[in-house]
Amino acid sequence: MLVAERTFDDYFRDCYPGLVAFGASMSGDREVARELAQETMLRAHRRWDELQEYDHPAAWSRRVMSNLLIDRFRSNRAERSAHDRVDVPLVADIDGVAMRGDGDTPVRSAGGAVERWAELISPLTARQRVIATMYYAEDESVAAIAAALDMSTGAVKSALFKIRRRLRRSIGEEATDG
Amino acid sequence: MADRNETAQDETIRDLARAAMAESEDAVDVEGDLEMIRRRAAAGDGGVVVAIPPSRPRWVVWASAAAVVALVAGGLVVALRPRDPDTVRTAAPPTPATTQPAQTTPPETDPPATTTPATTEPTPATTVGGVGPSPAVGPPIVVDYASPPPLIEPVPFARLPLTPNPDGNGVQVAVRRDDVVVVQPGSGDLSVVDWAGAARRVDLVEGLRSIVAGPDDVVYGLRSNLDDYNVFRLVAVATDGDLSGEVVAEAEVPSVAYTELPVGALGHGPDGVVDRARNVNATLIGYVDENGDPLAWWGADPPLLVAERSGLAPFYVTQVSQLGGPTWDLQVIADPAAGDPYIRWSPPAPTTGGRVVWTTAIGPDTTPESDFAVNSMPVIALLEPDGSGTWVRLPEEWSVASSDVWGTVLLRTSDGVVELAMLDDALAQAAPPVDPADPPEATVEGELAIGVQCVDELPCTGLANTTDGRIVAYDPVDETLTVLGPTGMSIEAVVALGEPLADRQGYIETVGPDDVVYVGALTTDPGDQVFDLLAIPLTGPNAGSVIATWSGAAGVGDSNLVPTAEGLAVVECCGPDFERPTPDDDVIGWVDGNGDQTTFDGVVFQITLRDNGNDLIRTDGGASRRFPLPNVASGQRGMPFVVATDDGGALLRTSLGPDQQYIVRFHTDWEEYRVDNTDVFQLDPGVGVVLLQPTGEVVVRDGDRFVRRTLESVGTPGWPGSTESQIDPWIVTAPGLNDYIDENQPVWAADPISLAYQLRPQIFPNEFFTAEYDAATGVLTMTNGGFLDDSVYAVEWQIQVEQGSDGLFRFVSGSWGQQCQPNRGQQDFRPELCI
Repeated sequence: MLVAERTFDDYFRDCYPGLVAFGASMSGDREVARELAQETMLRAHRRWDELQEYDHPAAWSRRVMSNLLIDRFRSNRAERSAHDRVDVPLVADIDGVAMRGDGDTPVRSAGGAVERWAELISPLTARQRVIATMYYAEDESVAAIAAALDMSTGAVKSALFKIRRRLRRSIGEEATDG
Repeated sequence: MADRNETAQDETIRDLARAAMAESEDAVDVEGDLEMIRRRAAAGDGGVVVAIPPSRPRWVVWASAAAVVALVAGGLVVALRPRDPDTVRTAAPPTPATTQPAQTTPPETDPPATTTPATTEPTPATTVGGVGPSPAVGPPIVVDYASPPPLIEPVPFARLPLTPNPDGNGVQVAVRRDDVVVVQPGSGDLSVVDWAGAARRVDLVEGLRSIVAGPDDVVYGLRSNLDDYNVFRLVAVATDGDLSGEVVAEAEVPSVAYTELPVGALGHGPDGVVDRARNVNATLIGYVDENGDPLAWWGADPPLLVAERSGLAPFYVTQVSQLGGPTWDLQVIADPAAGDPYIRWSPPAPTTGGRVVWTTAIGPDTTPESDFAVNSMPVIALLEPDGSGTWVRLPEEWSVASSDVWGTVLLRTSDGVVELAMLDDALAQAAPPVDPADPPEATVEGELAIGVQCVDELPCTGLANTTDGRIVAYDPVDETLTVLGPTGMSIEAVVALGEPLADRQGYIETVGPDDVVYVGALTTDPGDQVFDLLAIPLTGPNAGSVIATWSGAAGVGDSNLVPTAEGLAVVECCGPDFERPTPDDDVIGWVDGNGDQTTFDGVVFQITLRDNGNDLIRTDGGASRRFPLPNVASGQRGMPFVVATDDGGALLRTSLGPDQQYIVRFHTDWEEYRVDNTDVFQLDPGVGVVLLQPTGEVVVRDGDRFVRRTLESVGTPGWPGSTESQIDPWIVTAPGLNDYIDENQPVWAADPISLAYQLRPQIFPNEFFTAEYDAATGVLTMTNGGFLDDSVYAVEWQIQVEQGSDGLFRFVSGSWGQQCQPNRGQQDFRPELCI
């Protein structure tokens, strides 16, 4: 049976919107998400000959995107820490959210669902944000998340437990605050 | 089970997440961004400098741009410090180098044509940076100017006269397996320096830049090409043999790309000299021997490395990746006055032991008036093959001159002398001698990588130590055994249990040899509240499965299961045995991961009580050490929980009541037969210690977290002083006690009975101790008796105490008396000597 050859353009059209959405949901910043998704796709383009042989090239791009997001988050956190030390006012953190002068408490205005979700998961670690977004936003199974992030299912379950507890607490506080 | 409220909350979370995804997807311009990718790909990703960590570090972009400016200016050095890198566009990347046969008609500056053509085939450039998915990145390895890393002191192994060099060009150094090659600009020679510091000179007609040495007696370096300014010559010069000092092979590289190179820009690759700085890991010239014949690399391939940097000074992140190996996340927090001396940044380089070094400087710019920053406070990241790393600091005048698999050479030029030292020597000198009896103090405090999970109120996550000091957690919610690193802050493995144990009130008892976990669980007989003991391996084909069961063996009555060489001894709490455990105790034999019988050759403990002694005996193989038990641990029921510490001592948990919990830190520096009361910690109220660690720390439960703490942070050490008793008058004093209480506010001063144990911190074999407090009179009565003395049977102290406004009790005055053995004087307590 002849199988139509899948082009990079097809792959891009299938995967790219989801990557941007994934990045935006995690970071709260569509431009950051777009940049990182483009970097992911550029890498995919470079090695498309190899990737198109994969059963699930989308999983590869998801993994690259996750790593880029986590790396970006960590880098930003280090910068923020350094800014705090040298008393340099910071105008925006990774989420593109304005920060007060102490660089500590986010000041947010009511936004769309992206901003609200990003705010909800902002107390989580970078990896927890990725897991939370994959689990809640994309309905990925524990096994799929574990495979995508090169973690054991037990570690994903453990992380989800903490994530769930933290998010429930935040949701509860929101309800209390009215 | 989640309640209705939690279910609703979960739905809210999920709805919000999905809405965020939908909102984002709707806003994506797929076709527009696809077109952008096409353009970027067609441009080799060189046309746009994006804000994300690029496939090539930004500084490569800047350096290339600077080189272009320098070339266009016809030799005029244009000081370009790209404060706004986004305005800079890339120059054309260096073209792959091809190895050229040595010229049969060499330039005038070279010796006559005696070179042998290099037959090495051109090696295509291989760039590993920025290709493929990011490898797993280890934890950040942070250097911070505010708390600089430890200073190391290089020890020179060689000193050479410094050739006057008015141009200010740097001394070139290259490390080789058996020596170091030094090229000083303008000297007309190179020096081959052995590890004893002896130097041999080799005449050079022309100097060399960015040198690399070996394998074999060859040094590689860049030279200008007087015939074609567009290229540099990368020459191989023999340093020994008939052709010593002569070019035996060469290749051409584009001059635009190899101008203003940082130290260590060239290095060793599997097939030849590679570019570490520009066209990263491209092979520039194949290896040759001293006659110019092709040569294979010696031994295992040298590692190929790539660095990606994001951020600008004073804080930036550099990720160093080894092809096929780990990635290290280096986070640099430099002085606010530090600049971006891009020309000085050296690429990462291998060093000995499979490690990698990367250098930078985190102090303020020493030349603020210049366009190029020269930062002070040079530091070196030492990156280990396991993904970890540390930083060390060099003295200001020292720098890294060369690094490769044979070592890292440090350089200092001063007072007309060039000094060379090896990094490994400096590190060895800086490392404190390891004294097994005095290991470095562990200072890691913080939250464990796992938290507390409970099924209803019980069971909850429980912890135990493996025999080599790691932490194992049984999680009744996930039904997993999680293995943590020794500090508990990293997860090494998660093992799913083959059968759920939470419904059987499962709890972790201990971990035995061969990483087999022993778990207690209610017997499967529903009518029987007896606990079975289950053996579950952490590794191997049976990992997570129950491989052995001892019915009714755990949690029976008041018994304790105590590790011995043969197995878990069942120690009854209240029997007549004053040695625990004893050889007569029932033993549940250890099993290995396959369920076969095995033994334990680690440290085991025994306590002796009453007239058998009042000691904790630590036995490690054939060696035993006795530690006297403090008073707070002398009235033991059963066997206390004890853990061997890495320093040859032990931690023991005991209690006198709910609010009188103690951890005793038995230390090898105790005087023989004497308790050091400052190692007896009374825990602060509410502290729940769940695990003692071999490193001397404890793990406490803090809400739904497990937190690793030092003893000092969870309790109060005992009073270091002692009471003094006098005769005629029969009074007792406590010199310094009240001052100590004023100063330290110890928790034991909040309760008169706890205070009594500070006044009498140790009793001896066969002795007993009681303490009573009369709140009406403020008198604390302490009795210590059972002396192995034929005259005095017991002593009683009457201590008047007073409670201060801070709630703490203080010593006011004291008297004492003796009670004599039969027929040796008074039989009640009186201020009279027994006879």
